[in-house]
Amino acid sequence: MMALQRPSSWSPAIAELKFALHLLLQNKVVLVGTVISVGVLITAAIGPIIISPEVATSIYLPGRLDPPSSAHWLGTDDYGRDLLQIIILSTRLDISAALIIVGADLLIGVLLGAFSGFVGGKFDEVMMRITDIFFSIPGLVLALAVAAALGRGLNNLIVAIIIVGWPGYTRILRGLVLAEKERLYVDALRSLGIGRFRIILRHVIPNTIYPVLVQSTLDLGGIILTFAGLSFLGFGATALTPELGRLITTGQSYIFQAPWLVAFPGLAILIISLAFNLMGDGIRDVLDPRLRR
Amino acid sequence: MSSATEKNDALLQVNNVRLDFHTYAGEVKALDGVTFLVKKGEALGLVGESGCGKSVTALTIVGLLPENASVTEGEILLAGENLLAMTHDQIRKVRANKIAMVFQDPTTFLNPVLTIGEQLEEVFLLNSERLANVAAERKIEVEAGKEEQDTSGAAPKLARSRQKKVAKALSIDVLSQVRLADPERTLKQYPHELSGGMRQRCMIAMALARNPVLFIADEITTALDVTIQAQILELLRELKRQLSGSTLLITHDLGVVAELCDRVAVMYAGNIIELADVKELFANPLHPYTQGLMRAIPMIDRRMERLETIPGSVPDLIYPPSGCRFHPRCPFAFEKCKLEKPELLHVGKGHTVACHLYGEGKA
Amino acid sequence: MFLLVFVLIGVTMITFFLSQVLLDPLALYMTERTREDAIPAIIAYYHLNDPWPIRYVTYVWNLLQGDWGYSRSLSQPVLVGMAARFPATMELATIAIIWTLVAGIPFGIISALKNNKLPDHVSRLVALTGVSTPVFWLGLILQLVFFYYFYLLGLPHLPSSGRYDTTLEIKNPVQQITGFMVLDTLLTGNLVMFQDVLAHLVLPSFALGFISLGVIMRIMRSSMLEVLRQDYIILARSKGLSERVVIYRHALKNAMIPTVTIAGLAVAGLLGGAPLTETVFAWPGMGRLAVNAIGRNDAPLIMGFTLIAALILVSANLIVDILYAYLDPRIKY
Repeated sequence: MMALQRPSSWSPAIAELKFALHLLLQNKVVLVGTVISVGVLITAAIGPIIISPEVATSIYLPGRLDPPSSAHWLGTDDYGRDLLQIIILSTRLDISAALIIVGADLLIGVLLGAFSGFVGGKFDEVMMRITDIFFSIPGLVLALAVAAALGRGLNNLIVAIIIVGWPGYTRILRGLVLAEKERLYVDALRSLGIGRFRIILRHVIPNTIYPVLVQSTLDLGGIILTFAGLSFLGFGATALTPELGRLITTGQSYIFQAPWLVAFPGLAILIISLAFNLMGDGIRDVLDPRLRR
Repeated sequence: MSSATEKNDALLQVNNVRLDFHTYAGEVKALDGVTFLVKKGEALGLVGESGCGKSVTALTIVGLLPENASVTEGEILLAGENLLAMTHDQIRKVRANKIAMVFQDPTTFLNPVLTIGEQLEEVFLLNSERLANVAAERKIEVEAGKEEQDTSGAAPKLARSRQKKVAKALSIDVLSQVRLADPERTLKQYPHELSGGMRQRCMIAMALARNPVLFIADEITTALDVTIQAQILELLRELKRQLSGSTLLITHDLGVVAELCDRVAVMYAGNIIELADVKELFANPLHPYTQGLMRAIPMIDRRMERLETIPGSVPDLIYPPSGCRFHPRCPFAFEKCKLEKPELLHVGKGHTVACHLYGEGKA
Repeated sequence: MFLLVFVLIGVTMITFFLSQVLLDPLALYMTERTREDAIPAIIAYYHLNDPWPIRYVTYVWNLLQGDWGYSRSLSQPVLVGMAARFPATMELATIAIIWTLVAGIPFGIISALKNNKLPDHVSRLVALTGVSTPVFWLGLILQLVFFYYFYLLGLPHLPSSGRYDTTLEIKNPVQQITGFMVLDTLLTGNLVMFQDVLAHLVLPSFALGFISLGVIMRIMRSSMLEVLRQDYIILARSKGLSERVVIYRHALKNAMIPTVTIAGLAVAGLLGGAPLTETVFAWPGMGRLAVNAIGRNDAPLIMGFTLIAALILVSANLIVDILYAYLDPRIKY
């Protein structure tokens, strides 16, 4: 229909790019999400530089459970530590854990998915059934079981969440690769005698990875929630380690006496997760032509 | 024929309708003062290339334009009432009782999760008065065959279930009218269980169900196989003999027009450029574009080296050509064509044309 | 059906691996009263020294027999302990999914019809906060506000923990029939306890469902928008049907198809949220049981919870498939 025609004077690629940018800038919510995400990443990176990590271990009992004041903007916790400082220090662990988890899941998921789709046959069949099994156990429950089997500890918790997360990426990438391998250039490369692995790693994966990357941005928020949740239940970090879920576990005992101990760390988790979700949502909207109108 | 008598036997008058689509790239000037009329009982063909505004014209008549379209000028009169000035509810009633439209692709236009019966009976259920009349008429029939099993005639049950029964009976009638072999079974089937031709018959049945004064068929054979096309055209011919209403047949196929229509309007880039009786138009096409269309029809009895086409392409309607929108493709264009838009001009025997070649008594 | 059996085999392989390969296989079957000299008998009975395939088959066979191992923190067989807490979890999850669907579907439709207007922005905000909110934190904040602050202000406040008021129950004993307290109190006409049980459900089911609410709303919105662009909606309108009929008869059923799929996925979210929500609200369900087991190194109980969660999720997906076939006549099984 002519209503959908774009000016023919522009080259399609430039028109497309302009259109995507136009949509991205038009959406202020996404912009805010992106800005906060970047802010959070910077905070996590420079937190231990601007605030001495010793703050986490310096206990000052006379000043415990002080309400928010000009000296302590967010109050103090049950060890007398400044809550704002502790929250800033905590973001590093939560953010880096989430990044490690998503990164590892991407690596595993993308490789398995690419081979599954490209090789096909028995291997593909087996991989898909394995992902079916993973999808039939609620993610957090499986992570809990794996973490329990591995034993407590930060590394074990991270491993447990990684184990739960990869099948999603495998599925997405497999589907994309199945479509991609029908394209002519793959046949051309094969006829040139280039090996399978090389074609997959050098050509197929780079051509199909973008939707998976978008999905991983969207998943970051959820991973942070899972990590903090399992941490809240007692996995992962020990009592004095600055971590947001853990802070809420401690605060829970003082919920009516010192509600800020629960409210602020939780709010921090909410804001971080929300920022990543807003950013991921916006990127997906812009990249998905079906949602444009 | 004077224009006064023409207005008298007009069913639908489309007067100088202008319509824009608002798009990201700019305003698409899709209809540029479209004017024509459909007489009572006649079949008018509306022909032109895809994208020339035929379908948009039809959607404007029934008030089903997409949200980004707006009519900036003009009026559409159905028996004297302006459809464009109606409220949503008024135009909805017109669609329910007076103007019925059949669309191009029966695969996408039928609801996949409702049975043919559900989609057909709902049309009858809109008109409870008619249902009551039919119920009264058929009651005799029902009671005559009452020995078998029907109890609805004897015990006055819920009005709604009664209505549904009547609607079902009418649905079966109308499905037989469109020559479906087993209407009872078809009612229970879902669209995906039917062939393309059967689906198109069902969509036609949904239009006939309203007993429309104006029947609009928008490229209804385009999405079908050639053999099925022939069957549907045969059905249309048959229906045309039976029905009293007018038909607006939208197509890009001049062959279809020749077979089914009394008059033809040729459309180009949002304008009606020529309007005449079918025989007159085929015998004496005046507009250079119409002449081009005629030459582009493949003919069995005329030997040709290659099929002729009209040079150039459909213009960009965001920045339409000045003056006559056809001038960049017209072999006879002269200075005036670039400057001034030609008006529809009466050239005799109900033949009108919008072209500067025939202005100022030249024809 | 084949897929179902297959998936369950896979799930048991995972729990088998976790409990018998990563952990001490004996722990699954020992009780606190097991004497040293009984251990060889246990090993022989459960084939714990045999090759893995035999051990796995024995493991699954015992699962099928109802022997899910022994929970030392409960001093009970795992299955007995789980069964006692199964209704509490199911009741909470059911109420949560019901309210999310009841609120999410209509609101999703409204935000589709008012695309890019206020209701749409609200639904987008709710959806994004929903998937970004830590459920355990939300639970605590709800308690703080609706229990503690309402109580301080002298307003009618909601209970913050447990399934019912135990002192009230002494005077109005609830007879256990289905294990679902809402049903049991209704069936026996115990209205005092019915109200009490409902009041106890409000905060935890709100917290648990809040995550899924946004997801349901958004998928309902986007599938409704998608459906309203379809050709068959134009035909429906061209018939002169009212907008209500067009939306509720022609669009809704089509738009429900993706929503049902997502609702099935939401069950996974609810089950994942159960351990957290139940812990925060001291809800006597399976999730809280599993969390308590962590502190006591009671792996058999955690594996038992994992198995049940998988069973529930698989059943939920089966229901989704059935609904699918009902909604979409093109699908036949």
